[in-house]
Amino acid sequence: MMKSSNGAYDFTIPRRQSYAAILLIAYKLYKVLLRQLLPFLLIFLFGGSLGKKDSLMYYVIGIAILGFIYSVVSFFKYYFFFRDDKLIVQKGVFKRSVIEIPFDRIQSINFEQNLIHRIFNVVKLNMDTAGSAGSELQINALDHTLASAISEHILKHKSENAVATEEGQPITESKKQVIFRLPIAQLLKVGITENHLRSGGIIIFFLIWIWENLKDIGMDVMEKMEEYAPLAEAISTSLVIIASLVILFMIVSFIISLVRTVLKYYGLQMFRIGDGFVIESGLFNKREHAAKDHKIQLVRWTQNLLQKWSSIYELRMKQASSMEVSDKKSIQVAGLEWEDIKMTEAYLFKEQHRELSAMNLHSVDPYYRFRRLYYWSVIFLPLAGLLVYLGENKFAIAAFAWFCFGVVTTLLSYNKKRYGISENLLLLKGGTFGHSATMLQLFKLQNLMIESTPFQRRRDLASLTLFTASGQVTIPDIAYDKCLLMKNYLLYKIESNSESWM
Amino acid sequence: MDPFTNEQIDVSQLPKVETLVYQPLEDRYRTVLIISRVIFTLIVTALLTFGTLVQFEEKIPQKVIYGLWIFFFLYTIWGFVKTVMGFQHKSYALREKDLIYRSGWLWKDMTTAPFNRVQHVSIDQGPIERKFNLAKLKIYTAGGKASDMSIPGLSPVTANELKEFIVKKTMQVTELPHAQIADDEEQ
Repeated sequence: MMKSSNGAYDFTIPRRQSYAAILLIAYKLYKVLLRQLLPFLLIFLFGGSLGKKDSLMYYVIGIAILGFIYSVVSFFKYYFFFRDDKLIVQKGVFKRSVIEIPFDRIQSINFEQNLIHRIFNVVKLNMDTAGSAGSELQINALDHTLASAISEHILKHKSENAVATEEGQPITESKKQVIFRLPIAQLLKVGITENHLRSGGIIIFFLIWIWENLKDIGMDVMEKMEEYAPLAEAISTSLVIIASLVILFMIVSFIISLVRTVLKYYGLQMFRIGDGFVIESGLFNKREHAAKDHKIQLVRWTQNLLQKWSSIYELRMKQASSMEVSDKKSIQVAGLEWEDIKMTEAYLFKEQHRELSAMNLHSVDPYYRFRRLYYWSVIFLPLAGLLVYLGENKFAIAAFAWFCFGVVTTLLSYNKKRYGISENLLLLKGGTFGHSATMLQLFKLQNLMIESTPFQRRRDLASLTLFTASGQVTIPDIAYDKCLLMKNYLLYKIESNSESWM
Repeated sequence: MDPFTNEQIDVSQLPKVETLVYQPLEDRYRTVLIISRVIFTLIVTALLTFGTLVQFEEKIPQKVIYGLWIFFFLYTIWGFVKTVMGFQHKSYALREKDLIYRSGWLWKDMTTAPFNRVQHVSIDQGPIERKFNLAKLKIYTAGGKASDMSIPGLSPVTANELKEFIVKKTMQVTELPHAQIADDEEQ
């Protein structure tokens, strides 16, 4: 390694990672390959025809060697160095690419060590740039001292620029203030009004998954079933039994989602601490989530049909993250009443929350319905026709039913779609059977996209998509002129703003 | 460094995106696109031929095989038409505070990336692009994969110039509240 006599590193010279990186790259590659190819391997191994197993061995060895060569080449093509307060990485085996990251954009630096790292006494450097997924930077293997030196160098630069400390630090207990508490009775209400279809769906997929996997390793459930032929016959002939199975299935779905909800939201409390929210809940598995106001990019409340009847709401606040936005990064509260929603908005948007109620809401162009109906009919009607042609009448009926479902949801969702933009906020309302609303602060937008299909252009319409650091929002089918005007206004809001969006 | 100002501006006076002059991509990028299409078509043709001749003759009905060929044939024609027509509609415009890229022949889209939201910028070169001396500029924002902007078919010189320009802009924005450090750097 290039190290001068006084122990300081010269980071301006391009350098490679520690040689242990070759193993780590290969390890990562093998893991991915194994995961992708595992089903094929299993089928090969259990699928009979013993003669093929020898050739399989050659394939495995061949792929392993190719993978290792790839790892070596990619190691030798990987360089990193510092220039002008930027970290620069050059890499790529087939595609050469250069990544430049200004130190200011690096949010945090973590070291990681798995077993291989420990054996070679190296660390993996993770740099979170708060960019999109995949834009965070990893250096696979570095000597521990070098890694610390790099981290120190970058952090020193950042501390001069006085960057705010990371979230999740315990804030003084004294200012903790309970703003919402979910009583037991309300908790049961939340459980009962859950979307039971979802748990039903999960059960069905689980059963299908088990079925397919048993089939793959050579156990055909159908064959086993035929051993119990008299029983199967009784089932297929007796409608009563089918009906009771359906009811049983519904009851099981209901109980599962009720139990899940109670376990998840038991003892739910929402606190206000300083300029952030903390959520606490869970029966056995108590979890605590924190979100600072400035990290929250999108707020969304929803109300399904059952919740609408019992007038309770679910609230989600999505935080910025460099990973794909997962539920872990969003704060979720259930069983809220309208006043609680209003209160949260007031905390989050400060005085600006008044703009929400004063906002002029517009509906999207009626053409929205037809565009969606075209797509539904183009996909499902020919599919149903094809299935009838192939003699699969049951599936044809299913396809047609799905089409009808699409028609109904389209009409309902058009009726509820409304959007409004004020001085600082954007509000998008929607829903099919229930209601939903998404809110965001305009200066937290990242970029914008206008899209149009040939059919939209014939009617002078376009769709506007707004991207934030925790998801996107689309306002479909609005007049093209209006779309441009809104885009210009939003861009002005973004570009004239110097407040940090997170 | 200029003092920070934030004057109220009449929205109707803002520079309109629609009056911009767009820069087309390098002409030879069309060739790159067509070559990529040809390679893709050859690979799929080879796979389909293999499938038809060798393995699945008994297992998959003839109807389905014919169907696949017809579908692939139509898809190929559509693919080439889309590639050639789509190329003419790919263009970009650089403004003081953002970069605009538009593409699409029938299904059009236009993305705008404000510089004060850019996370980082990179230049990519695929093997075919390298042969044709072309580069692809990628602009990453925190808006997620769907919003990352990628401008292909630039000459490496233009790509580098654009990158330098954008990186300089993003650094300016970052340092705005920290005027002192900017001064230090000038020494």
